[in-house]
Amino acid sequence: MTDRYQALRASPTFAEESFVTDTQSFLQTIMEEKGINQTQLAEAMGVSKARVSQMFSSEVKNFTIRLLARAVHALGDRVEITSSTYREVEQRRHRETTREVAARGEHIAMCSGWEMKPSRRAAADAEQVSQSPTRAVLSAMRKFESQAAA
Amino acid sequence: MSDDAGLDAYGLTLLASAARGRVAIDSALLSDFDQLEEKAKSQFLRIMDLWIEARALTPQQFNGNEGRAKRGSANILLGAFKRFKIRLYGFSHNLSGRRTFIIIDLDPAKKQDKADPKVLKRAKERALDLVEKIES
Repeated sequence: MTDRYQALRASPTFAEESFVTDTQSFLQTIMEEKGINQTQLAEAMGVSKARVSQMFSSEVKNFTIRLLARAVHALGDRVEITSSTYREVEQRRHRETTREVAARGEHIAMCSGWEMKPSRRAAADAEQVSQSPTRAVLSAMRKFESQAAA
Repeated sequence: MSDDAGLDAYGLTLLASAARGRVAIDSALLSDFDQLEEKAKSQFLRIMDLWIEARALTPQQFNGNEGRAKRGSANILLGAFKRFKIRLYGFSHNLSGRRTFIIIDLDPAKKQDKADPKVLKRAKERALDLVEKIES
């Protein structure tokens, strides 16, 4: 299919307006799930109904990031931001951290002459690594290394 | 099957399409749609994408019940995409095996944020005429 609006869909205007549309649909999805209408959302947020109406209007005047966070919090949820680039970076960090943790584990075992046996603790650590490849994991490994060296 | 299969025969033009459906417009209304501001056109196209994906739409984006049009055995439920006080009237129909929202009227009246009864009545007539043509 040749999309007659291909140029428009690639424009900054479309990026902006589609984000507006998606954000409104995002809130509507949560509201429908929770059985809450716009009047009830205004009450839960402690703002006027007019303010909530503005959030859902075409112009979306005064719809700030803070107001979005407040709306989602009032719905008992939390906003998570992502994008394709952000997801790629997160996945790459996950892979790198997992490799680094594995390499350090092997290095410690070789230097200390330990036999690498899976333990409950190691299994728990591995689980933590697979779920949350954060700097905290690396920090824990560094602490482990320093203890081993001592 | 191509995305615009079955549209030409009924004077329709494809506006948006994905695996779960498509949105088409009466080709006679295409220039009116194209003349809308880019902001409005962008929001409409994205709302159409979301309608195709059966995502939640706000009452300010889509009204799924603008009334029914009846003639003989035909009974059509009209809906409207809404943005910037502009309404795109249409109805959902299985056309050539594809779930299709067919836009058959456009109300660009910016004076009020309410359905213009005259335009709505005209939309219902157009919907009935088109369905008759499709099913004949």
